[in-house]
Amino acid sequence: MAAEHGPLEQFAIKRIVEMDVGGLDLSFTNSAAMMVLAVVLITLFLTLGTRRRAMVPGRWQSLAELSYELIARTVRDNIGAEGRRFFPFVFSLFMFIVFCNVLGLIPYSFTVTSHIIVTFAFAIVVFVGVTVLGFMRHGLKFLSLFLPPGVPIFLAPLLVPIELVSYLSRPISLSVRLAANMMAGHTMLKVFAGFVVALGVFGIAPLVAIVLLYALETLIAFLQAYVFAVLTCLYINDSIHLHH
Amino acid sequence: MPQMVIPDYAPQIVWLVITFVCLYVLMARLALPQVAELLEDRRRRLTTDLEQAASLRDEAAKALVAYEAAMAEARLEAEAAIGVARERIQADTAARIADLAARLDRQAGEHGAAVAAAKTEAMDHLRAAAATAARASVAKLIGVEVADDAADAAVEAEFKGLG
Repeated sequence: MAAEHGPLEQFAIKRIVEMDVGGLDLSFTNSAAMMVLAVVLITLFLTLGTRRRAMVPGRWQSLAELSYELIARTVRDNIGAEGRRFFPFVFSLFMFIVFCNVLGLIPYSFTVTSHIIVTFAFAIVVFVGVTVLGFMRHGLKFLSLFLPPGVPIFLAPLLVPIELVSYLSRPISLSVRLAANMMAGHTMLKVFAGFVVALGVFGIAPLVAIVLLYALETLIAFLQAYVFAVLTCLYINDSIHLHH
Repeated sequence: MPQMVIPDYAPQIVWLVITFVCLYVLMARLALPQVAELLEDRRRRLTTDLEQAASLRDEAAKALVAYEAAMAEARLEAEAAIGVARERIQADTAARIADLAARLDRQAGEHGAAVAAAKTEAMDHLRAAAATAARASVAKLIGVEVADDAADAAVEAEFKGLG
């Protein structure tokens, strides 16, 4: 029982509705509930926020426009005009991650993005996507990504494996960065919360620490989502423009 | 560690795919076009407002130029009118001066002639008187009756000698 009340208990997957279709576990879990909640909130946030179509936007509409323009600018700056096609994807990715991150900060909720399998699924979609995109646009010339231009040919045996490893490690670094950030932050909050109870009156010190950590975690929630989106843009750019 | 529970992977991935595809469709079809339209509306409105402001400014500048041109034209016209008026007045004045001078000349001539006539008449009277006086004097002094003609001639000669 002790393990169930430890700092890692918050990450446990709980099946709300058990489902099994042909041996595949489709159970509706607490994670799935948070994903659905995130999708609903994102959609309401954007559609209701911009429903009044005010010329001078209010706070909510400003936030909706701000999120749109942030990702639109990121896509444009990193990919260029061709990036328009990928804008809905990058935007959905960013909003999904940022909402899952922030919703996970609500006590007793669940952080979808703290699970490596979720972030890895995103990362592998991005990785496979940009690889297919690169081969579709450039054919075998896409392989020149592994040999930067202007490099002496005798360095190729050294550089190509390095570039190849760096390319193949992209999905791992992308997914681990996000999941580890989320997991570490939430675990730390939980650990400090345990101190508050354990220290009694002196629990005020870890309580203050929790408040500060919470602010930091909120920042990280946005930052990591943005980092994920920016890196996705950079990978798409590599596939479209090869070397830059 | 709950993240390493392999049997939990399948439901997470399945629901991730379901929810993310839903989100993508909702964003691409519904939310993003709405926001884009909103931003585009504002951009267009701002652009038209700016263009309108620019055209109004141009119009104002044009009006100012037209006003200045009109002012310059009016000034030139006024100067021309003043010049014409001045010339007319000068011509008029000159004509009047000439007229006056002519009249004065004429009057002076007339008066001169009258003075000359009066003088001649007075001289004639004086000459006649002198001749009569001369004849009477001669008759009294030497008892010689001098003919009128001779007396006249003598008076004339004396007058001539006096200048």
